[in-house]
Amino acid sequence: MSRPSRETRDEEYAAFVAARQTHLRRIAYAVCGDWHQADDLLQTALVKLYVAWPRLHRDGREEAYARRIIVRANIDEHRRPWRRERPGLDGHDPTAREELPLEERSAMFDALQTLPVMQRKTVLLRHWLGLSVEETAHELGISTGTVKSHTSRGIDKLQQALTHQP
Amino acid sequence: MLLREEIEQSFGAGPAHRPIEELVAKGRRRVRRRRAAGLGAALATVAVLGATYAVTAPGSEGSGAPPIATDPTSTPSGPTWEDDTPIRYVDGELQIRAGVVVHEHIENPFGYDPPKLSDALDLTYEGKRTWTLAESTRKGFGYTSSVPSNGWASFADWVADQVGTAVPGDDGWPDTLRLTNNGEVVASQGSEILQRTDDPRLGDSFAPPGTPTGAAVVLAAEDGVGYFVVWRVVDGELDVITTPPRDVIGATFQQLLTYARGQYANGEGLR
Repeated sequence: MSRPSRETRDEEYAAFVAARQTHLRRIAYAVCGDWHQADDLLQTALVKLYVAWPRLHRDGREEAYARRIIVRANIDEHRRPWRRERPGLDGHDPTAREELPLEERSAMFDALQTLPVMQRKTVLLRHWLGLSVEETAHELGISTGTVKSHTSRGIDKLQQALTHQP
Repeated sequence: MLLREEIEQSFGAGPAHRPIEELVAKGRRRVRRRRAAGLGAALATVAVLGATYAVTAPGSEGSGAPPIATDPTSTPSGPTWEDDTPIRYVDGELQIRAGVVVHEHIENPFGYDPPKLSDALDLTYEGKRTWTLAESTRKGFGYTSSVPSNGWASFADWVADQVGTAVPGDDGWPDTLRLTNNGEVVASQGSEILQRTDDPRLGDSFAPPGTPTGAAVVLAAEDGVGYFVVWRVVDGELDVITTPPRDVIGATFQQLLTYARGQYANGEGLR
């Protein structure tokens, strides 16, 4: 059986990473809300991807594989920045939100980060990445019924959070 | 604005990425560790089976560059050469058997630190040209070989592929099973054994009588895919052989077992 050389593997892998790492890290960031943690998640996923590259590249499943590792990761809630103390008083000091890191975060993003992890993941996969209920269930390793309930509750909370934005 | 667009536009692209070369280097190291672990397990099995290390297919003779070392007619010093191997390690040094012709030698392809050793050799032994990769670790002597040019452009390419990827069929398969301290084979964390049989009678070419063996269909936690796997526990090491998912689609567990028995009966195996 002929297999690609290590150079070929490295070239193909590097091309994939160059093309998709920004998108994959945005997924990680949307899930965890912290660029450092997103970087760690991305690195973990991409190193595993390198190991599995021959069969995944052959089957065209590179991105799905990396994404699944990212969205299935256990998020370290203690590192999430919105749990840190913010300067000013929310709702009373309009400058407080502007002092968050320069990450172009919007009210929508902050509202997403207030959702419980699984609700956030299902909303992101269903309503941002456009996955079906079945695909989301497969991606997260949960039942379709659980996907539906998490998504429904997540959307409700998202709307409430956005409605009550200062 | 659609929710999808709102989310898409709700945050930026973040800071600069880490260098891709850093990822490649980490990936290579991870593969090398897996490769070394797989090689050790495979070779331990060969030793237990008492089989020879000679390749099964005939190699080409006398092709390529002139030899860089020809042996010797004299046998190197050290203990009696009991195994049918062209090379061995004695006291931390590579020894080449009398009569072996070395065409090319790549030292330490795994980049081990002492006392671990590794060597790759393009050699002719008993009239057969083989590409050989050997290592000496705390687990003992490991040895694998291939018929030259069997899918690789050059000896260097073959060595790079062996070092850079796991053993054939085992490069990157998700973890499905683990060995407990009690010697039981169970699903690895997060994975689920859907069907299982112990001692599936895969034959002596798979493992000698008395060796704990088994077969199962396991839903891997890593990618959520079901895999048909067979395993053997040799010298306290679990060796899991995984088959590609597309090879198992539509087959019953009994059909998979029959297929596996046939593969090991004809000497091809599942790797």
